[in-house]
Amino acid sequence: MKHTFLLLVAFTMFFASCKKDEVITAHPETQKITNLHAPADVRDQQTGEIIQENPYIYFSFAKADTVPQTESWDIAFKGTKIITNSGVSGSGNAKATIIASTFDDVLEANDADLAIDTDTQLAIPYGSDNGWYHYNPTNHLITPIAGRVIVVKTNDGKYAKMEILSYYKDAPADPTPTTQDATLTFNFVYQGDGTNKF
Amino acid sequence: MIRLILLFFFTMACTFRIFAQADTMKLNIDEIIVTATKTQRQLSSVTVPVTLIPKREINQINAHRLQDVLGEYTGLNTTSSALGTGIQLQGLDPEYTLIMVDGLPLIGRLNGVLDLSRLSVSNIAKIEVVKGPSSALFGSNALAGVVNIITEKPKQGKQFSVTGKYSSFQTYDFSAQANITTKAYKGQVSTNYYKTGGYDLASNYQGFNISTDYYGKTVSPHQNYAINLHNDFKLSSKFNFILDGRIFKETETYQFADANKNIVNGDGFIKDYALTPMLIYRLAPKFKSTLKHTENRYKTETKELFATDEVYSSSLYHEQYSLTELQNEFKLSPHHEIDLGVGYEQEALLTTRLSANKTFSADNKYVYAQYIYNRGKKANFVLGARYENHKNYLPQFNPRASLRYQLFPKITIRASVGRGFKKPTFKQLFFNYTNSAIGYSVFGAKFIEQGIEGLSQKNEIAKDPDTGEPIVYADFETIMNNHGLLNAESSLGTNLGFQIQSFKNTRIDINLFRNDLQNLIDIVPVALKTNGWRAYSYLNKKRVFTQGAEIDIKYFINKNIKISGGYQYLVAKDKDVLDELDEGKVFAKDLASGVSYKLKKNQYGGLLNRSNHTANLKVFVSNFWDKTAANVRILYKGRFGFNDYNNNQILDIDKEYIPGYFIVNTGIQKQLLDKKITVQLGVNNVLDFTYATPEYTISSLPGRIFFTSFTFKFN
Repeated sequence: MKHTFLLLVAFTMFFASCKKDEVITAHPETQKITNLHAPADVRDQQTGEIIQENPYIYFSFAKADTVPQTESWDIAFKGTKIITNSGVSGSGNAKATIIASTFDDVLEANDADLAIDTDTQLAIPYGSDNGWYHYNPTNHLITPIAGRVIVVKTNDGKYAKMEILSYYKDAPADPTPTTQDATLTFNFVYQGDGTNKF
Repeated sequence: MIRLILLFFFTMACTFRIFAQADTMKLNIDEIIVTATKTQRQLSSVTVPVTLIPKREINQINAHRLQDVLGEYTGLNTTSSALGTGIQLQGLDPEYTLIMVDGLPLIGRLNGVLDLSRLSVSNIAKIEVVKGPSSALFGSNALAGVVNIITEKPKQGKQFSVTGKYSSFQTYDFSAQANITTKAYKGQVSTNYYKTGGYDLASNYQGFNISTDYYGKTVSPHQNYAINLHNDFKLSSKFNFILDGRIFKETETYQFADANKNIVNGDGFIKDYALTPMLIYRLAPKFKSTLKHTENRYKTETKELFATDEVYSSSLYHEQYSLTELQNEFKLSPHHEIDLGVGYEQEALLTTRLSANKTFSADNKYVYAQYIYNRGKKANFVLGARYENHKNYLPQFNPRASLRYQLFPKITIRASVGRGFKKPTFKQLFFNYTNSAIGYSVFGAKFIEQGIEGLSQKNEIAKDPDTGEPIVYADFETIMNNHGLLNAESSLGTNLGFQIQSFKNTRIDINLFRNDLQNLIDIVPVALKTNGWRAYSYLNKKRVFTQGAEIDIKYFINKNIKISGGYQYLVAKDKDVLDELDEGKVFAKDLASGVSYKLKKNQYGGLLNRSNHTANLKVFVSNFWDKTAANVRILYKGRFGFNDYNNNQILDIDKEYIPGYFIVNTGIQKQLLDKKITVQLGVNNVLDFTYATPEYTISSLPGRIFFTSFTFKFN
C-alpha cells in the first residue's frame, strides 16, 4: 500500500515536471477589483424620470483602476450599465462583447466578435438577461448570470477579459435588498503583450 | 386549545364505556371501477395502474378537503402554491392530471392548477385514480392520469346522516345527507358547510418586520358550502333518466401590503355550479347506451381596496363548459366488448387577466372507440383511441393499448402504453399583458403580431443600429411562421406493473413508469424593448421526461391489523437541459467567490418541486380495546427543489432544495349504538412540522392539528 502511494507520488511529480517544461508563455495574472461603486441615476418611482443624474465611473484595464474621463479609459460603469469607449459612448477605439463560458476557458479574444456602442445597442448589452445580469422582480436583486465573460479590446489595442462576481458591497453570498448595490466586484486578466491570447 | 383537550377527554370517556362492533378489514374486496375504461370493470381485471380509495378509508382519517385524502397514497403527491393545492402524478405538474366528478371534468383551473381544496370529501363514495395517459378516453389534460371522484349514490330505503367535525385553526365542517329510494326513483341530497380561520406562517420568519414585509395570512379565513343532488328516475325496465346537480360557493376575505407597504383589503368569491341530465338505455346484457349533457359554470371575482376605499385592483374570471356525449357499449360475447363514443364540447372564458371585455370561446368534436378482450382472471386486453378536432389546435389522435396477464397463480403482470395530450390554454393563445411596474410584455401566440405591432407603433421595440429593423429573436419568426398556432403538448406514457399475492395475507404491487413529453409550451423572449426589458410569447419548445417506480405492500397480520407501506422513486428532467449539459453550455456561480464553473451532468437536479423519494407507512388496527379502531400514518416527502438560486435557471445546488420531512398522523375511532354513531378524534402532524422562510413556505402545513368528529346515521 505504502509502496503504491510512493509510486503514485513519483509518477505525478514526473508528469507534473514534464508539463511545466512545455509551458512556453506565462498566462497573465488574474486581478481583482473590489467594491467599485458606480451608482445608477436616481429615478422617480412613479414617473421614471431622472431626479439626480450620476456620473459614469471610468476604468482602465492597463492601470487596473478607475481613471478620470479625460484619460485613456476602456469601459465605464453606471448601475448595471457598462459602456465601452467607442461609438456613441466615447471617442476611443475600445470594443467589447459577452461570451458564454467560464472565465478560465476564454483563451483568446476574437476581433470578429467585438462590437462598439451604438444608439440602440451597447457592445455589452444592458437589461435583465440581455447581458451580464439578471434582475429578480420579486426581491429586486441583481445577480450576475453564471458563465458570462466580458471580452474587451482596450483603447490602446490590447485585450482583456473580465467576469463580474457581484453587484453588492463586499460581494456577500446572500445580498439582501438593503445591501449597498451598484458596487461591483470583478476578476479580470489584462494581456499587456499585445497578443489576443489569455 | 384547552377546549379541544377537554373535548378530547370527554369523548374518550364516553367512547370506552359503550360496547360496539367495529369493522374488520379484508384484503381482497373486488371493487367495481369505471375510470379505467369508462365502463364498469372489476378492479382485478383492470389493465392500467389504478389507485382506488374507498369511503371506508376516507372515513378512517381526519379529512376535510380532497387533498387531505390524496396526499396519503403512494404516487399521489400534493403540491401547494399560491394557485392552490394540486396533485402531482408520475412526476408531472397538476395541469397534466384531469380531475373529474362522476366522469365529467371540473373547470376553473388557475394557471393550470385545479385547487383540490374546492372539494369536500363529505359526499365522496370513492376516488378512482388512473395513472398514465388516459387521453384515449378523456381527451385533454389526461397525460399523467385521471382523478375521478365518484359521489355517493342512494342506498336502499331511507337514510339520513349528519357529521360535525372540528379541527384546530377554527375549522368547522358540517355535512348532512339524505336519500330516499322507491321502485321508480332514487334520490340523494348532500350538503356541506366548511369554515376555517386560516393561519399565518410568515410569523415564523426570522428578522423581518411581519407587519409591513409580510402582512396578511398564509391561508386567509374562508368559508364555503356545497350542495349536491342526485336523481335517478326509472322510466321503464330499459330506460333510466338521471339528473345530477351541484352548487359550490366560497367566500374569502384577505389582507396584504402593496409594494409601498399600504395595506390592501381583499374580498373574493368562487362559484361553481353544474347541471347534468343523463339518459341511459339498457338492453341487458348485450347493449347499453348513455346520452349525457352537462352545463358547468365557474366564476371567481376579487375586489381589493386600500383603507381609503380606493380600488387597488379587481378581477373576474368566468368560465363556461358544456358537453354532450353519447356512449354505446356492445357486449358481443362474454369475452369481447366494443365501446363507441361521440361528443361535442364548448368552452368559453371571460377574464380580466386576458381581456376585460372579450369572451374567448372554442369548440371540440371527438369520437372514441375501444375494444376489450376479457378472459376473467387469466387475461385482459384493451385497445382504444380517441380522435378530436378542436378549434384552437391541430387534430389529436390518442391511442392506448393495455393488457393484464396472470403469469402464475400468484403473479400478475400489467402493461400499458398510450399517448396523452394537453391543449393550449386561452392565455397561451390570446394573452395581452404589459407589466407597467417593471416593463416587460407577454403576448399569446395568436396575439403576437398585433402585440409587437402595437409596441412598435409606440416606439417601444428596440431597433438594430445597422439595419434600423426591430430587434426580434429567432422564436418570434418561428411563431409568426406558424401563424400563431400552438400545437397541443403531448406525451407517450409507458407503464409496467406486477402484482404479487402471497401467503394469503400479503399483496405487493409494483409499477414502473416512464413519460416522455414533447411540445411543452414554454414562455420565450421574442423581442427587445427600448426599456431594456423583453417581450415574451409562447412556443412549443420544451421536452421533459419523468420516470420512476412505485411499490405498495399491504400486509394483514390478522383480520384486525393491517400494515401498509408505499414508496415512490422519481426522476424528472428537462431533455434540452441535458443536451446543453452535454455540450458544456450550462454554468453556475460559486456563491462564495462569485466565480462561474461549468456544470456537470450529475449536478443537475431535474425539475422543481419533485422529490426523488416519497414514502408512507400506515398501521390500521380495528377491534382492539373494547372494539375501538385506531391508526398511525407516517408520510415522508424527500427533499425537493423549490427555486433557482444561483441564476442558471436550473436546479443544481443544495440551497435550492427544501429538506425532506416526515408527517405523522394518528386517529382513533369508535362506533356506538349499533353503528348509528361514530366518534373520532386524533392528531394530525403530531411532530408539529412546519416550513416557513421568506424564500419558500409550505403553505399547506400549519402545524399540529387536533381534531374530533361525530357522525350520526338514521336508517
